[in-house]
Amino acid sequence: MIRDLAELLVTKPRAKGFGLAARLAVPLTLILLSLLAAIVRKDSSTLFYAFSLAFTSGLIAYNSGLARLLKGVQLILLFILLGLLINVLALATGLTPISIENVLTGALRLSAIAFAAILLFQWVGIEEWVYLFSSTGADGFAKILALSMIQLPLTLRAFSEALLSVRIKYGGKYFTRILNPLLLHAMSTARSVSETLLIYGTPAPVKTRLLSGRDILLYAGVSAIALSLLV
Amino acid sequence: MSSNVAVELEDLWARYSGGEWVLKGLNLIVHKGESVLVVGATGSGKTTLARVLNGTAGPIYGVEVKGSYKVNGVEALGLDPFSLGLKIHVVSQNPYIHFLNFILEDDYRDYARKVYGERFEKQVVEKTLTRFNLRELRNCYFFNLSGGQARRAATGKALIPDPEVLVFDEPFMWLDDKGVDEFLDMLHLLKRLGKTIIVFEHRFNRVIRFFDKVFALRNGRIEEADLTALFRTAARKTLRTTLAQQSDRGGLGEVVLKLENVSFGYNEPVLNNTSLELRRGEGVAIIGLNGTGKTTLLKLITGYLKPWKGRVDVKGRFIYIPQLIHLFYTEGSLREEAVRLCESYGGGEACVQEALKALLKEGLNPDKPPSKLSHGQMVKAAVLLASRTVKPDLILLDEPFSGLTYVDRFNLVRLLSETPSAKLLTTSSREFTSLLNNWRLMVLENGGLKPAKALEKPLNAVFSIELAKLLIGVEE
Repeated sequence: MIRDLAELLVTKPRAKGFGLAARLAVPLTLILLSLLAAIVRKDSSTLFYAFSLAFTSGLIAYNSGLARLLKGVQLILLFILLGLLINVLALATGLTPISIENVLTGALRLSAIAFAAILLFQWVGIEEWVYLFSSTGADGFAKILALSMIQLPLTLRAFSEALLSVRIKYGGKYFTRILNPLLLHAMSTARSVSETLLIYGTPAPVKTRLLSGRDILLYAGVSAIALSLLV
Repeated sequence: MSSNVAVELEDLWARYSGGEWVLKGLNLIVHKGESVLVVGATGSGKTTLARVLNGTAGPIYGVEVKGSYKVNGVEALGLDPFSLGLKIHVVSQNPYIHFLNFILEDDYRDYARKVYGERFEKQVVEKTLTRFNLRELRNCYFFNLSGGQARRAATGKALIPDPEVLVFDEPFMWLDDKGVDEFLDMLHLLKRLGKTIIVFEHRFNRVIRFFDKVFALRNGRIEEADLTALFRTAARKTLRTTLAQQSDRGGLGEVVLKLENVSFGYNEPVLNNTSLELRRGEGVAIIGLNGTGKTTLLKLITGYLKPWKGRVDVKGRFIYIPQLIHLFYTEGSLREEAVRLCESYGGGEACVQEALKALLKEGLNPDKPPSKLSHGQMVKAAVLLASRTVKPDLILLDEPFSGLTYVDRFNLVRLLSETPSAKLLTTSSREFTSLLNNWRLMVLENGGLKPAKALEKPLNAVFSIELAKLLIGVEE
C-alpha cells in the first residue's frame, strides 16, 4: 500500500496539458475551501466534499489510471476508515457527543484534502517548484524542496520496511520507536542527495506556460464545486 | 609529472571534524586508460577517499583534507564538485541517489543541458541512452529500476560530461549475479572507450582479473598488492581451513514454517503455487535474481502481505532482519537494544546479560550506537540480539550478504550455523552459497521454488576469504 501511495506522489507527464497557474490554483483552492468549510460551515458541507472528491479522483485517474488510484489511496482510506470506526465505536458506547453525520463529514473532508494534495504532487514538477521559489529569491528553500521531493518515494518505501521490521522485532510493542531508524535514514539520505545536488547541480528551473486553453475546464469545475458550498 | 597520469594523490590526509585521520599520507598514481581495483576492509576509508575524489568531502561532510590531489595534472582540491565531475566522476554505493528527476530521460536532459547547453542536450542524451542500452528505461521512474538497472543508469549519467576518469564506490552493492555480469560488460565498454577506471570494492572474486592493478587500502595508506604472492599464501591457508557446519538434518525439530500452494502477485503473478516447509534448526537459502519475488515471499511469511491463494502457517516467534539493516535498530546503543528486546518479551536481567556476553564475544562493544557500526557488524549484531533475547523459532533475513565483505559473510554463516532457530535467508547471488553447509538451497524463478546447487566449490569461497584477509590485513 505504501509503495502504491509512493507511485501516486510523483509528477505525471499528462499534467503538462494544463497551465502552471491552474495546476497550482486548483488543488490549493480545493484544500483551502475544505479547511474553510470546516471552520465556517462546520458539518453542512457534505455535498462540497463529495463533489471535490469526485473531481480530484477523476483527474488523478486520468493521470495515473483507475487501478493505480485505487491501490494508491488504500492507505489513506484505511486511516480514515479507522478514524471512522473509532468514532462510531465511541458513539455507540456514549463516549463522545459527535453525531454520525459529523463523523462522516470529517472522513469526507480528510479524503478531499488528501486527494487534492496528491493532485498537487502529480501536477507540479520538481523543476517547476524550483522555478517558483527561485523566482521569489528563496533559492535555498527550492533546493531543500527538490531534495525532499525526489527522495519521497524511496523514503516511503523505507518507512514500509521499518514498520515491518520494528513491529515484528518488538511483537507489536514500542511502535513509536520506528521514528529513530527513520530519522537516521532521512539524515543519511539527505546528505547523499546533497552530494548529488553539488555534483549535478540543482534541477534547472523550468519556466512552463502559465496558462492554457484547457484550464477553463478546471476553473469551471472548481467554481461549480465552490458553488455547492452555497447550497 | 608525466602527462600520462590521470589521477595523482600525494601525501593525502583526511579526517572528519574532531576525529582521527582516516587517510594518513596516502600516495597513488593512476595512469590514463588504466583500470585499478582498490580493496579495503569496511571502515578503511574507501568511501572517504571517494568523497575526496568527487569534491564533496569538505562541503558536505566537513572533512579536513590536506596534501595534493591532481586530475590530469591540475590541482583538484578545492574545486567545486560540479566542475570536478566534468573530469572525474564518482558513482556512489547507492545508485538511486544520483537522480534529481523522477523520469530517467528528464533527469539526463537536465544534466546534459547544464553541461552542453540546450543545443546539444538531446543529442548527448540519445547517445548515452543507446550506448548503455537504456532506451527502454528512458520513461521509467528511477525508483522503480532494479539495482543493476539503476547502476547502469547512474553510470550513464556520470558519462554525460565525458569525464576522463570513472570511479565506482562498491558497485556490487544490491546487484544480483546478472547485475554483476552487466556491470562487467560495462567495465569492458568503458575500457574500450579509453576511460580510466578506479573501483572500490571488497567483493572482488569475479572481477579481479579485469584490472591492471590491485591496491590495498589499510591503516589510511594505499599500496599495490603482489597478487602472485598473495594467491600462493591464500591457497596454502585455504587447505588448512575448516568450514562452519549447520546442525545435522537428523537433529531437526518441529515444523515452524509451512507454505502450502501459495500464489501472490501485484499487477501480475509473482508466486505461483509455491510450497515450502522449514523445521527448527534447519537453514534454507532462497536464491533468485532481483525482482523474482524473494522479498515478497518473506513479506507473505511475516503476514505483511496476504496470499491470493494457499496458506502460510508460522508457528511461534519470528524475527525479520531487513536488507536496509539500519532500519532494524531503534535504540541509542546495542545495550539499550538488548534491554528493549528483553523487555518486549518479558525477559529479565539474565536475558540482557546473555545478549551482552554474546556481543562482547563477537568483538562488538555494547555501548556503541548501532549507527556507528559497519554494515557487517550491524547484520551480525542483529542476528546475535535476536537469537539471544527473543530466541525466535524462525529468523528471516532479507539479502543479509549484500554489502558484506567476504570475511563478514564467512562470520555470518558461522554465527547462523550456531543458532538453533530455523533460518530462512534470501540472496540474489550464488557466490558463497557453497559455504552454507547442510543448508537447503532453493532457487526462486518463474514464481516457483526448486532445489538448487551451489555453483562454486566450497574451497573456492574459502580461497576468496583467505585472499581478502591477506589483502585487507585481517588478523587471524
